[in-house]
Amino acid sequence: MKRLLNRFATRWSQFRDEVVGLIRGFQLLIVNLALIGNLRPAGLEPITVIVDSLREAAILRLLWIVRLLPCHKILVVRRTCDLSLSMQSDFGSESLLIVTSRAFSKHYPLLAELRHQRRLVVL
Amino acid sequence: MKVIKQSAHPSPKVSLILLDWSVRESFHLLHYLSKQDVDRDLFEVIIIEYYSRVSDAIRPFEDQVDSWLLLEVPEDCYYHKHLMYNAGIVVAKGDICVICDSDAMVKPGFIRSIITEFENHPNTVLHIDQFRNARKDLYPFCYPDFSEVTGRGCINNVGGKTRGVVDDKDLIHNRNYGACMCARRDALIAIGGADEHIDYLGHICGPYDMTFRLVNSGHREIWHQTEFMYHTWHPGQAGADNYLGPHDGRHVSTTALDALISGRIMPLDENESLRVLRMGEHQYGCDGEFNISPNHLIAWKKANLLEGKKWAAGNSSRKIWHGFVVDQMIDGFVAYPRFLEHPEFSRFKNQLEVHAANEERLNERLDHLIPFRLRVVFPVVTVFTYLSRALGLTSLYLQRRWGRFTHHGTQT
Repeated sequence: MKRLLNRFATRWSQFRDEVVGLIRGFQLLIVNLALIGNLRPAGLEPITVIVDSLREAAILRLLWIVRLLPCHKILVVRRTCDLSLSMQSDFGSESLLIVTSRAFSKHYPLLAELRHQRRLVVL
Repeated sequence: MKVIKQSAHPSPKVSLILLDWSVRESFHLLHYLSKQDVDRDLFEVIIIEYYSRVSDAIRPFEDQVDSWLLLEVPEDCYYHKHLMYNAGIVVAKGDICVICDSDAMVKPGFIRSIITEFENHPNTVLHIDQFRNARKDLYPFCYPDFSEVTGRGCINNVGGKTRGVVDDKDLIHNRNYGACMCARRDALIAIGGADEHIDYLGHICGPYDMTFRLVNSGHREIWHQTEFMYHTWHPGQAGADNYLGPHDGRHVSTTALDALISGRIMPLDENESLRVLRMGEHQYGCDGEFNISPNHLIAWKKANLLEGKKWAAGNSSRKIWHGFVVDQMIDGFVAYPRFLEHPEFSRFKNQLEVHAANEERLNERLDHLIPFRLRVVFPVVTVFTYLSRALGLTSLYLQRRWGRFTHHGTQT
């Protein structure tokens, strides 16, 4: 019984640590996006945000609808194949590309190349 | 530092660095290294013991050990694997350093695969993933067959390859970066070796710190698609009750992730012996030449890491608070939104950087910077994240149980 309780406690602390990390990362994204929105005049080059979960994408859309965040396009990259190579060249030229640190670290072999472009911000 | 044995190999190609901090019960990798299909002179085996124990587990395979060093760190200090990596890199004579598990099994072509990979792609950092079997009846290690390890009880066999190698969803968490990492010794020296920062003390550490910085310096990361290691269950493998440095909730160091994200190449805390090698003052480390900073022996004292009876886990000079990066400076705290680290936004530094003498004052000032409407959203996001993650993990658990059940069903 004690072993079972210990196991449960370990799993719970792992789950809690992970979710706290997710929440911190997402708070960082929305606060930074809001501040970027304040700094940049409207109508400037578009913002593209890369996230790794549908949950984050849904919340970002909601926050944009209620005008808490600036207008932005959202790309959800859950698997490496979701980000096609042909699209990468489009990013650098026109839009400010913002990628969450979680999405970046999950797919860094693909996204590390983009980092060398001037307009990639990893949050 | 005490040298028990020193390598007589004049110029091996590969140096295997195996670690112990007076905990290892078995070094059976050495048994499998004696069965390799390459000339024994092509590789050397270096054992680095953190404390002063001369392990009995090594004795049966002593003929396979070329160099055996005791770092003689005082027993009241906590273990820091990166210090051991650095000691290994300093004494290594091979062109390629291999940092790997010493309690895993490898096939006879293991060393040959590493040499071939570096002959074909010299500018790479090579990782070899590990099949892991959770069967407790294989403990104590009983030299099972390779097929037994990849068969019943194996938690990551996907069609003959590890789940990490075939994964395209979450490379960092699904691949075992600590199983086996190989890189050219000169490349490791050029990036300052492993980072001896206190954030890597204890369980949250690994050669991926160097992998990420090698990638930042232009090396290509490769995961071998056909060569694997094989690991069987033993007690304490999950690092329970260990001191944990800052991590992302899934035991990957956030300090290492920060290095990857920011493109940093050099370590936060470079070892003096590595610095000497990097500056070209020596080529190889000799007896007694590996330096351990006296400051480490104070900072890593177990007594300084405890809060009551528990480890004061995750102490770091850098924190994230409500979307701001908070750095602790000598004269107080400074907070800034992360995008200021990007050159395009650095001109807004004076406008958005917040300084304060203590953390409470800083948090108050940051609260004023974040719009009220956005702060109201935070608790909603928190609840939503907990619920959706719980649902996601439940579904993943059920999928895996179902997968194992049907797999078992088709076998019987």
